[in-house]
Amino acid sequence: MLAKELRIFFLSIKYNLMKETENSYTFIASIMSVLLDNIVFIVQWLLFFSFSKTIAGFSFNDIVIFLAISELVYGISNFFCKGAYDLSRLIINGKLDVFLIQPRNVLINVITSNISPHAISNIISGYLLLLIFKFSVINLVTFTILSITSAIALTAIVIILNSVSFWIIGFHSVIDELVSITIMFGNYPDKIFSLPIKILLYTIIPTGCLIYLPVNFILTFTFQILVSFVFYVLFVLIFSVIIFNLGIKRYSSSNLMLSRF
Amino acid sequence: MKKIKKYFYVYKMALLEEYTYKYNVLISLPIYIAIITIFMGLWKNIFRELGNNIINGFSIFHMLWYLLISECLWLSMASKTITDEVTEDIKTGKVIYMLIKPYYYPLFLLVKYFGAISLKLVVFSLISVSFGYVFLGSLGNFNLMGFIFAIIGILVGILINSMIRLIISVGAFWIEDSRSIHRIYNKLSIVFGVIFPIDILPSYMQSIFSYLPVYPIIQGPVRMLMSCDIKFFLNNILPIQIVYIVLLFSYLSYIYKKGLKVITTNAC
Repeated sequence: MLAKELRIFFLSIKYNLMKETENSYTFIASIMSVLLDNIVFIVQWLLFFSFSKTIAGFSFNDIVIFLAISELVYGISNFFCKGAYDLSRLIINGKLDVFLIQPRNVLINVITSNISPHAISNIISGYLLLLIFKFSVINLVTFTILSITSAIALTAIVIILNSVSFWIIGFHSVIDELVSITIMFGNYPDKIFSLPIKILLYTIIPTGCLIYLPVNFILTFTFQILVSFVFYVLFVLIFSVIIFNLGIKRYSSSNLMLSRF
Repeated sequence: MKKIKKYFYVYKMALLEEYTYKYNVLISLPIYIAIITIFMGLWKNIFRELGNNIINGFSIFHMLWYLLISECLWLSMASKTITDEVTEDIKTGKVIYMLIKPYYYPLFLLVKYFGAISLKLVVFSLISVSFGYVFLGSLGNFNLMGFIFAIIGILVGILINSMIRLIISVGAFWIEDSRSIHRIYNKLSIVFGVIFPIDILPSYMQSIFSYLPVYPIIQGPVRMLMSCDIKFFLNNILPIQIVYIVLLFSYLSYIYKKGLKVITTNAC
């Protein structure tokens, strides 16, 4: 069953990539734009560090880890599970029927139905930043494992937010903003914020658990941070499955005839 | 007169359209609050680490006011009217329908753009000024004439930014999708001017930065609004803005004319 799901998943990635790379110029330009985006971000931090050698106790190389993890988490989640980000539109437009009738797990089927090929540039950027500024074998391994785990948690949060559309129509416009804000805060260290903002970042805005916990683990190797992070990921993962399954019972078809190839 | 009147109606139409969906203006508000929160935290930390209250004559108070106004302007300037929509029109060939209408297409887009951002500009300005007065306090050197000149500077800055955006969008005649270039332009402008004033840079960098587009678009007008120094505006900001407008409009007309020669469309 799992092997079959994986096979379909990788075929979906293959065909989506083929579709997107048809116009190679546009594809390469969008990848280059993300890479340039990060170079500009590095320049921004160099400017800030020209005023002070450390900011909130972090050196320049430490700060880059925040950006690297954010890029990788967002990249992995968007590249492999773009379907999760489109879920609310499918619910509102009654386009879930086509997934319900297939002999596959509905949630996995939906979230892997689409990929964002441009997000590959976020993944490349994340690794490049790590290789240039904080490379070591142990960092590479922990970085990869934590980023994949965090990307799973981000996808689970996106599923939870999108599943709200089973009950409330119009909520989808908030989701993109919330994800952007989550990633945006992740590019900056938590120690620069005041306590109320920090509380917000570990509760309503999930940046704290998705980005700050993995980064703080890489920087300090504190076991408690890792345990908190694993518990958080498990919690959002289980909660996302529960809320999706509850929501799907409320789903009503629009009788829209669609086919997937 | 008739020629100008039609553009006035275009402006009115875009403004009314924006007013119909007035609550959409508030969608960008969380992003604005997030950016302000991040950079306020960042600057406060930098000033704390430095242990002094002034960087090149700029205090944390002025820095935060600068941030509030510059971010407000930059976010208000963002509109799909001259970016995504133009790119899409060129990509799909829809632009051909615009060309047969009795207006100059680039001018139509610029006027429409001003209509589309007017409401957002007013709402965001009111929010940021109120926020600044409540949490930071008054800037202190306000005078009406200086304020009027600052508004002129801001509007000219918006015009310069819109022309640069339009030139990038018109690039879609050749590269099909210019959104990635818009993204780079956006990021460069934020890093090289929106998040810090030119005054805090070393003097050799200040002279270079004053020739970058972000100076007449954001840095100059915001500085003018904060200082209300008319003499400085007339000597150091307005001349650069005029040069930019002349150069950009000439280039926009040229590139648009060239683009029309390569256009292909299907009978959709």
